[in-house]
Amino acid sequence: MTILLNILILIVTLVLQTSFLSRFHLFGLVPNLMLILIISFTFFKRIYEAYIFAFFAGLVLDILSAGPFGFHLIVFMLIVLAASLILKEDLTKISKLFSFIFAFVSTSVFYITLWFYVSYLGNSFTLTGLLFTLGQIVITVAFFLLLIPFLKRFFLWQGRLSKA
Amino acid sequence: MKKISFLIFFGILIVILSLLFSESKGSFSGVDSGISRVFQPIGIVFSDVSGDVKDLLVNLTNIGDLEKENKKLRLEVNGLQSKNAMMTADIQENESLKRALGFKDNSGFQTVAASITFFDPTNVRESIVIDKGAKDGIKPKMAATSEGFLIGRVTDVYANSAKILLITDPLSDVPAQIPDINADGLVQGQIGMGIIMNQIQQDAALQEGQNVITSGLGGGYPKGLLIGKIENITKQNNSIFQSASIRTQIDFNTLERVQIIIN
Repeated sequence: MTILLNILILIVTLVLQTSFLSRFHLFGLVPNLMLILIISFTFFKRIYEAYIFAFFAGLVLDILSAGPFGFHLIVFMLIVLAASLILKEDLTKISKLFSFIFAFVSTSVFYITLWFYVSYLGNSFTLTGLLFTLGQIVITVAFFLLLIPFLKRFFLWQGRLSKA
Repeated sequence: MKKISFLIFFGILIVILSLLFSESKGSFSGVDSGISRVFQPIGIVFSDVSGDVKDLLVNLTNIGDLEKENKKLRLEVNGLQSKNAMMTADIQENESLKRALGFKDNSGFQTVAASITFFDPTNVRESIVIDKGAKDGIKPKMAATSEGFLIGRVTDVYANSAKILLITDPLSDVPAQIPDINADGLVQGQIGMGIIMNQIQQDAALQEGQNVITSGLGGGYPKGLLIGKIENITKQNNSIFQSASIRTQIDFNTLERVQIIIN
């Protein structure tokens, strides 16, 4: 049941991110729902579940994205690894400040790396590009903070459902 | 737990490295094709629905502006219709002269229409996935247009889908020309900034509103495809080149249908 729910969550988030949300820009910015979900998985799910989810989410996003291939895979894996090294067993008691810092650092690593890669290859480091990238980080973290209470309740409910 | 985590991480890293190796050798296309095929129907539905929802929201919030734009466009259409009538006479004369000279006309493009299923998830890279692929005659490096404007080029092709790199992508380069003044340059995407035309000769007399078309240089894009119009010109006295931002009639966020030029 949990596996089916996780697959459903993956499909819904993927489709929302790539087919629906892409059309609704806020000053050209779009929150990265999949990244938010990966970070939430690392907080509220077992580590091996987070790894599996991150692997398949990263693989599909790499196939649908312009690249570089493997970028989503590796960054998502690193996020899960970092969470597993820092967090303790009882993940429902993480503080809001920690979750904000972790989300901010993870999102920044994702977007700054991508910006650097694209700017380096295009030989075009522009201030506008950097500001846009920072805007992406801010909007993704803002949506993370908005969604995390709901995601926490959802994953706790899912945990109780799997135990029942 | 940390040891297990490291073990899982390195195990998956080995899998990722082998995937990367397979992808670089091109032997991953079957998986790409399979995954695209699985998500395609859902993607098409959500893409269409989101387009309709966005249109509704835009219409509700911009009713006043829409009325003004409607009036302006009506005037423009009337003007174009009269020009069209004059041009029809020119076309007929042209055809007659071509027949007289025995000229072979091969300027028409053959196109395949496709719907967009997915946009790039990062919002930094700009690409789309469409619902047509190799089975429909699509090959890599074919140009893609929408409403008569160039929008990108096919990069990856699978059996039933294809990926298009948009001209707004920061790694997209399109050799272009301003036909009014016969000036060449390179149209490049900018992160979050649309497209600009670089490497235009300093002495080129750029003006706002001039058309920009593909030059056909390098063989990457067919010649004569409309890209947009010159908007803001950036000129520095101590520079060899000047540049200009390009305004295109296409809203890349609301793309729904594209045409792939297959000949």
